[in-house]
Amino acid sequence: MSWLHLWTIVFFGAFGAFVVISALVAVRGYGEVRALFQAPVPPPADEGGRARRPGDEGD
Amino acid sequence: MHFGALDWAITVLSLLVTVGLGLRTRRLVGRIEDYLVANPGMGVYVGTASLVSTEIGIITYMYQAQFGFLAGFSAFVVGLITIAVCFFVGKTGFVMTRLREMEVMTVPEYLERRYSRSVRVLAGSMMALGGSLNLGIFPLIEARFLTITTGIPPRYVTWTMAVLLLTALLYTALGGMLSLMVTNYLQYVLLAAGTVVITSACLYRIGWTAMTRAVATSLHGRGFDPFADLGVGPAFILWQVLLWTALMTVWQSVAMRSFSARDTATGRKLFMLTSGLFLGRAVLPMAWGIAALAFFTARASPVAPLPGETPRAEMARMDESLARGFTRQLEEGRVASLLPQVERLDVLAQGELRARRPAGPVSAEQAAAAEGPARRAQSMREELGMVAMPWMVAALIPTGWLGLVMAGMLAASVSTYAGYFLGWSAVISQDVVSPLLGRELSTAGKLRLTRATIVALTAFIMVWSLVYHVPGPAFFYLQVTANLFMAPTLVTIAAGLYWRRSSSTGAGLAYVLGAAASLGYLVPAFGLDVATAGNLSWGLALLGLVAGSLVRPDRQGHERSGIHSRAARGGLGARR
Repeated sequence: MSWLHLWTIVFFGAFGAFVVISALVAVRGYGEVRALFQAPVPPPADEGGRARRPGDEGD
Repeated sequence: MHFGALDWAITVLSLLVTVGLGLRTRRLVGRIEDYLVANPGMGVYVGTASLVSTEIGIITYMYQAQFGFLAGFSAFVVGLITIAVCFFVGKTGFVMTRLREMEVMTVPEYLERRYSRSVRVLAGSMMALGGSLNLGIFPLIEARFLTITTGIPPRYVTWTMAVLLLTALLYTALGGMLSLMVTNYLQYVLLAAGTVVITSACLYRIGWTAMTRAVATSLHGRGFDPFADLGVGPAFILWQVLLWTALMTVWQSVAMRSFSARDTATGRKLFMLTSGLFLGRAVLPMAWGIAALAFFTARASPVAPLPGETPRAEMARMDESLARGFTRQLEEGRVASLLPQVERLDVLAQGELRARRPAGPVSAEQAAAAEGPARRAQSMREELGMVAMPWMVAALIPTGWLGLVMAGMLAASVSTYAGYFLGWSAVISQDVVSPLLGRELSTAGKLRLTRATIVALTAFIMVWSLVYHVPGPAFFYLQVTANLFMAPTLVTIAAGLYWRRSSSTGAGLAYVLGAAASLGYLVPAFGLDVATAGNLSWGLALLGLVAGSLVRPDRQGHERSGIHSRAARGGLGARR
């Protein structure tokens, strides 16, 4: 196989992968973005700057 | 030039929607964790969009296109290295998983836990320096793309830079990482659409066959075999593998995405998915550069010597003519007219150099007579390579589609600035200023410091972009400024994670020696070529780490490693 054949496969492979993965990211990412907006507003931080997280004592 | 009202409307609307979305997420930012790493909750697809849109800007497309224009298809080898390294990191979780488990916010934060505070400050300073220098050439190059494709007169290039930077600054300073994740999603969709439009236009209007023919004829037999063409062969490829391993693991804006991931499995999936996009990130714009070469070669008129003119006289005439008119013609976009002249000058100068070599010793004046034009031809070819792609885009893409492309390119650019502003300002404020102050800042204080750092960084890159002249192709400059701290950072972090005897002295030495080697390329007086400087940087960083660690081990080395292991299991390591 010549270099030109290799680069032709690489280019069209890269273009195809870019289109397919981008479509996947666009469709599935939309749900994840919506979930971020629907997340509750976080509680205020304590004096040390560390905020409470799920799993902290008392949760 | 046909960037019309419809194109402007699409562009401005896309910017307004993006900024509006960024500002809307502001209410969700309550803590420094939210601001810097989005309080880990990022899913695979938003994470991929965020990572890729941060790592693709107009600058990426410009320097990759320039590399394709100069090196032809041989440049594609970088894309293959990128996908291999990114997939390897995702598959194995190399370095990234361990850092993610420790819940650090910045890469140098780990260095304090493993080594000492002074190593953290040194690493943070090096990162701030290299990162700022790296970011420092973005605005000018990106503004050139914008002015060419929109038809804004070149004299407004500085104003274009300022508007671009202020837009990015606006929502980064206000929203932070959470804002980035949301806006990056929209920006990714836009930039992917723009990328597909330009690539399709290149294939449809120019064609793959014409592109391959242009490389074969214009590069005089070069442009296909990367081992022969890049001038450095295996050394260049080895350096690229090392550098991309570092970029995928400890480059702050990339590492922040793995810190933000919901869990380590999500982080690893994110990198595997991203590997396919990173191949396109390199190969597609490189192909645009090749398409630009084909586009302008097809429109160029051949240049010929005057009747009775000797090659030496022709070289002198061509050199003088280009010295007088090159810059003006470049600004006017007369690439098709300049390209054959520059190629002719290069061929004549190379011929003159070859003719003198077998004749034995030559005087310094004789050598300079041919080396000067050869060097100038190379420099002018690099300049042409930088602007050829945007001039082709402006000529090739019809009105309406051009607006979509511009929206995509601006989205790419703004998201890159925002991601880098946040990444480097986090390092400067968290790893340099805060440790030097010697006291823990309040949450509000940390947020204020980070935001002030972003503003200062913006001012710096605006100035640097105007005063610094990039030596050689932008691709090499960007990689060497990254290498300045990437080599020592990956060496010290990998040793910290996997070699118990690595010490603070070794880590410090690794930074000093690794950075010194990279400066050998950036400071022209040292005259190091890019691959030598790159590989030397890795070699010296490793040597410094091993020698320093063996000569002066840390007293508490084992205890530190023990803390480390517990943190990795989830016992310690809560964010401070």
